[in-house]
Amino acid sequence: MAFNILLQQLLNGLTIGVGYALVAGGLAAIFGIMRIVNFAHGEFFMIAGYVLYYGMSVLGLPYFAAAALAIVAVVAFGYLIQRLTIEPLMETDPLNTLLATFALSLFMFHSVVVISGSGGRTIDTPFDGVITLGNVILTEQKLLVMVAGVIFLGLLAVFLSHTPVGKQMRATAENRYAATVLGIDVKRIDRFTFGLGIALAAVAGVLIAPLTPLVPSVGTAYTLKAFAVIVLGGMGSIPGAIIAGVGLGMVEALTAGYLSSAWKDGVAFLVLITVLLTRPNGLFGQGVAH
Amino acid sequence: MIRIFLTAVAVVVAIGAPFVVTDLYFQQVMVIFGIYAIFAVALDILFGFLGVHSFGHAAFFGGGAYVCGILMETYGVSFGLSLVAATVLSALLGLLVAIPALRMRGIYFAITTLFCAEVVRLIVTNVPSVTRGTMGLTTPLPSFPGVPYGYENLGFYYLTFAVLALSCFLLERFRRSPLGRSFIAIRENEQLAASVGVPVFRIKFYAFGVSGGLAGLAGAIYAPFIGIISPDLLSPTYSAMGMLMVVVGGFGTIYGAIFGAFMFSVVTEIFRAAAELRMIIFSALLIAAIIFMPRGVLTPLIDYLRRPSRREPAVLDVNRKDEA
Repeated sequence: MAFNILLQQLLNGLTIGVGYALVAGGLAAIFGIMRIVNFAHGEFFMIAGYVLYYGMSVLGLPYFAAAALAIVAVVAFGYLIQRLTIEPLMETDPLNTLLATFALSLFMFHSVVVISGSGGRTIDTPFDGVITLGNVILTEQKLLVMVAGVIFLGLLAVFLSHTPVGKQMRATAENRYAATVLGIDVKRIDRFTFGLGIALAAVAGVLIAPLTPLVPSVGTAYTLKAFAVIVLGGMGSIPGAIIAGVGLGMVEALTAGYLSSAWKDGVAFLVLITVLLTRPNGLFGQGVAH
Repeated sequence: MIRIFLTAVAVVVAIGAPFVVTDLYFQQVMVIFGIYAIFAVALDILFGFLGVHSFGHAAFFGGGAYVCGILMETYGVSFGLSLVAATVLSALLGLLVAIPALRMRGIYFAITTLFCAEVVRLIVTNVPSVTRGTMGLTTPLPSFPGVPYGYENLGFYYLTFAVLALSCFLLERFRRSPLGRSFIAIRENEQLAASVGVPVFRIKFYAFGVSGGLAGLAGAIYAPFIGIISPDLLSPTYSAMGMLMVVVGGFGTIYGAIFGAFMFSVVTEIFRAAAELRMIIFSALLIAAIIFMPRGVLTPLIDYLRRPSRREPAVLDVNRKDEA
């Protein structure tokens, strides 16, 4: 019986962990290639959830259509944000993009609060059934999160390693200046990278949002989690972000299951600060923190 | 000479203002402005003087508010003693945060300070037996010596502006002292400062304590003035609010921080009807300020007014490419 509880917790952790991996993977791509820290990253996750909610409840779209609409809308919005606020600041002091994305996150959060209120929104997907494996229970939506999450992460890996744009992105991450010399249009790569990172956050948003009542503050929470994840995985390392994301989900689920659900966020932060102090380059990273 | 004249005018205006503005509501706005100004000045010690960018100053502002609130409400400690305790404890919290944070640089520093503030918020939220958690803690109205009942606004007003004036005076003196100049040296070029014998880490460490203590004092005045505090005070919104005031006003000049606080309280009051709308407008303003006026609103204007500038060292140019 105790083993079943453990298994159940690990499965819950895996679901959340896949969500973290998607959000943090996008954040890591943006940091690795553009060298900017996107404090507004989780807000794109949150907005995707809200577009999904309104697409289904107001427009009456089916889940997948509303999800596709949400991803497209959030990416388009992200592109606009990137062109208007991040691109003009790219060659200036890194503090500027840090402050600008921090302000963006507040802007997006408070906009959603004004439009939708700070109360919770429930999204009903067609996947409300329950699958029972022995004594372990899995909702269909959680299964969808895992399957779709793994598919998207796999697509990302193939994209980065096998397509010309993916190779140009990795080259830019490796050495921005040399990439420019070799004729890579880094500005174009930046726009593409930002869109891709936002798209991953939006995918996570439409998958995860139906699991719990959606509130505007979920965006900030995911930003902070994604930061913990990419610091653990080594800033800018996408594989590191994926492994650390799944790992953080597991640790949180175990903390919530065996200690207290109120303190599960604290564990993540504590682990993060410890890692920063002892291994500032992350568990898998090669970057330089100091 | 102009400086002394302007200072004298400011002092006279500050002392006389509550006699001219007798409307209770506008008096409250002035007190809020003063509290925000103290908070902004505290942040400017790190942002402007040292070039250290804390993203988690809400921890000290909210921490000071909670220390003061808990001492007054739960333990019945006097307001004055609570203020002192809140300042000291916030300063200690600042030193505690500085230990891990100062080992980091650039974005890592920003993330660490942000996370430290989140840890404080999590603790306050999850210990409802002491802090009442998300319910919020009500704080009693203090009595001020010599201020009749019903005129607490005046008490808060003079306390706030006395603290603000004293901290500005001390900081202005400090900036011209050898130690103050070593702050600027660290901001301009840390390696160079270290190589000529400036104890960089120690200075940053104590500056963090002073800045945290001053931010905590602002929070400690804020708590009984507002009457109810919640863990929201520790959220990144308040850290951002502080940065907003310093960035909009201009780094490294004390009057810039105060001007930023003034802008913030004025904008806040204009859009008072919709509390959330004002944050949207303010964050949009911040983005615009970063893109179009990286040196703030006031600093370029003052530079223009005294073009053949001889006395002051150049203000921090955040558009510089070197030094992350």
